[in-house]
Amino acid sequence: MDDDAPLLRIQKVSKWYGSHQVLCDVSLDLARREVLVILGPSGSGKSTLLRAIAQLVEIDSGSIFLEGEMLGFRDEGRRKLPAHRIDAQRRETGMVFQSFNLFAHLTALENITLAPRRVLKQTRGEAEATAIQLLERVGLREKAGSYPNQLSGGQQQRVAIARAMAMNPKVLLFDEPTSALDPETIREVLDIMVDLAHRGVTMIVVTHETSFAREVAHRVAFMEHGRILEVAPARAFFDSPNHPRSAAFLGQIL
Amino acid sequence: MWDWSLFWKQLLERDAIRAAEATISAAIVGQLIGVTLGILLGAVGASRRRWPRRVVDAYVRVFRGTPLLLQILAFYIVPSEYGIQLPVFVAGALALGMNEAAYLSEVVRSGLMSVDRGQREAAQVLGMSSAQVLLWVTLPQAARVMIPPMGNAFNAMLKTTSLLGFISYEELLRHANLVLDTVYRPFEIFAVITVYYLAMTTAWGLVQSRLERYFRVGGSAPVARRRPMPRLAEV
Amino acid sequence: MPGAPAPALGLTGTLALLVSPLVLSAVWVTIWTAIAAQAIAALCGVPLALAELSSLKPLKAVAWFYNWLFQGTPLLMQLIFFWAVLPILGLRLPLIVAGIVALALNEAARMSQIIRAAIIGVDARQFEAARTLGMSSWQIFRLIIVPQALRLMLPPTGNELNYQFKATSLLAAISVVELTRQTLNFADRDPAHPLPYFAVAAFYYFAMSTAWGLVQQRLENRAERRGFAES
Repeated sequence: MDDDAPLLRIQKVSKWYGSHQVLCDVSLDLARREVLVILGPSGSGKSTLLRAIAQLVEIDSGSIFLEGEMLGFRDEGRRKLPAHRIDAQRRETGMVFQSFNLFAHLTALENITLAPRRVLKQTRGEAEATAIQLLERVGLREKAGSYPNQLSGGQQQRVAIARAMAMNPKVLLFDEPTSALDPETIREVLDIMVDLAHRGVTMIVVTHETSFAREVAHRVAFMEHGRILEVAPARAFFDSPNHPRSAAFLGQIL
Repeated sequence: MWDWSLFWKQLLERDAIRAAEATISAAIVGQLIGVTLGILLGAVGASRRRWPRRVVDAYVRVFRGTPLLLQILAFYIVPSEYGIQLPVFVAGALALGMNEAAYLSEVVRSGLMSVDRGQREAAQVLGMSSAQVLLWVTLPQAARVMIPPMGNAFNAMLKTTSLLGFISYEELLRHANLVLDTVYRPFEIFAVITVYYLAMTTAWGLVQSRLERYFRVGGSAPVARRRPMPRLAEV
Repeated sequence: MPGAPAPALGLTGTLALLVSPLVLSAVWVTIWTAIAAQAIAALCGVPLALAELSSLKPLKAVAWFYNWLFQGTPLLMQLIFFWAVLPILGLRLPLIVAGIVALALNEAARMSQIIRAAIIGVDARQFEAARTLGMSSWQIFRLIIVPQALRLMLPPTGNELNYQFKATSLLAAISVVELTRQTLNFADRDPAHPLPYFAVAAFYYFAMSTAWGLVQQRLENRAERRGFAES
């Protein structure tokens, strides 16, 4: 496949909740191996955009393509894909939630192996071998048998990242992955994310951690009121934001 | 006066043991129908689809709003109007099971709704189908709240099988009535079936508490038990 | 007996059945036996609940045994037992009285749990507050615990009456002509077309539980307006 074509293409996507428009004509391209950070005040539609890509919310207009394939719909006529096709598409996008959402009844290891076994039909041995590697990578090899409520927030989020990675997604979406964490544990999660970025994982990260954005983001997008007001290379964005709103926002949080 | 030898003789009578087996098998089959159908109805009830949910609501209303005895009699008598005569065991177990399903569907529904939405989303994002999400993520987590009422329902079921005597299924109570026709010693004869019933319900109570302990995995907090449980599927 | 089976009740026949004196009197029997049994059960439940809560071991044991016996065996068995032993004991009670007593004794076990939970449910600090005012134990029980526990009991007891409407159907076993027995009698007389009779019975059972549901709602709303929210 053509390596220059964008991995993910978002075209004029809109979403309403009742009469309130949360996404307004959002367009964005993401290249393979790119790390994009989305900044913006709360309620700006960042999370909704991620959830639209993961097909947790249905968009009202516009379209999203992953490797040229339209997500959720058969064609521009907005005929929905059958459920099993949507399930198959969801395998290609991984998501890490603000509240971790580890399966409460399963151990860390089982959390990671569940989808590979049930969805990808891997054998238990295969799935566990991969899972243990991933747990090692996030530094939690010895916590394989622990249940989520026996882990700290940071540990839970690291397991959640491993769980998403186990499906080998084409793009990994992070929805404020450190917002629910204690300040001391934020770094351990960010370190894992930095490591993933260096390994060439394509990521979209909604976060308030500007240090992470400066460190690894290729580009930064700024959102407000459901619109993308500015997309720029990370250094340019932080050094001299173009849009007055993004400048004001940076002024507030830095 | 009380006749011990009659009591022991009746207790160990072959027919009494057979009647106890009939009670247990009707209860088990009824429970299997009740749990299976209850989970299906509960899953539909917890879904967002409007029409299927209304059908479930109507089902629950019908089966909870009328006496179980009326349902058993209806299952046995009404189909004959259309030339279908269900065997006693089938009509009985079906009525018991479908009645219990109405109660359990609400247990299952509220159990499923008590599972955090994020759990379902996390599973969906991994590409699991709705059936897989239900089977591997939401149902196992709802199990903790579902198991105690389901256990109580089986306890009730062991007792409600006695209503099947009305359609001449030979369970313990009907057995006692039949014996009573020949030997009018109600104290001894009822003592015999009381022993059987108490043995069954007490034994099940022990099994149940072990089951509940088993399903409390992951160190999750035990379900609060201060209030008496709502009634389940009795009568 | 005529050779040809009677034709099925049409719509008019079913409507006529709905208001026929036989059906209406059966409905009335169902209603009043349920209320009587529930009332007796609530009364019997009080000493049982107090025995369960008491610190005297023998009392506790008696209450435990009562509940174990009555909740561990089928209601229908208890009903038939009372009916069967009455003549032996030389008691010449009408059948329906024996039936109501059996329903009530069974329900008393259940009511004792509801009452006990309500008593425990009254905030312990209320108890302490009353103590500091110098009230005696009996005064605290009568003036503080009972009124509050009554409010807590209201919703579950209401549900029990709803259950009782259905439980009275078992009186059919000792040939008390309540709604289910009446339905069976009709079905026996017209074995070719039982459906309308069952439909009519179902209708009345529904009506009873729906009507009681509305009454219950009003009672609970009134209790809530007086500052007793069901927690």
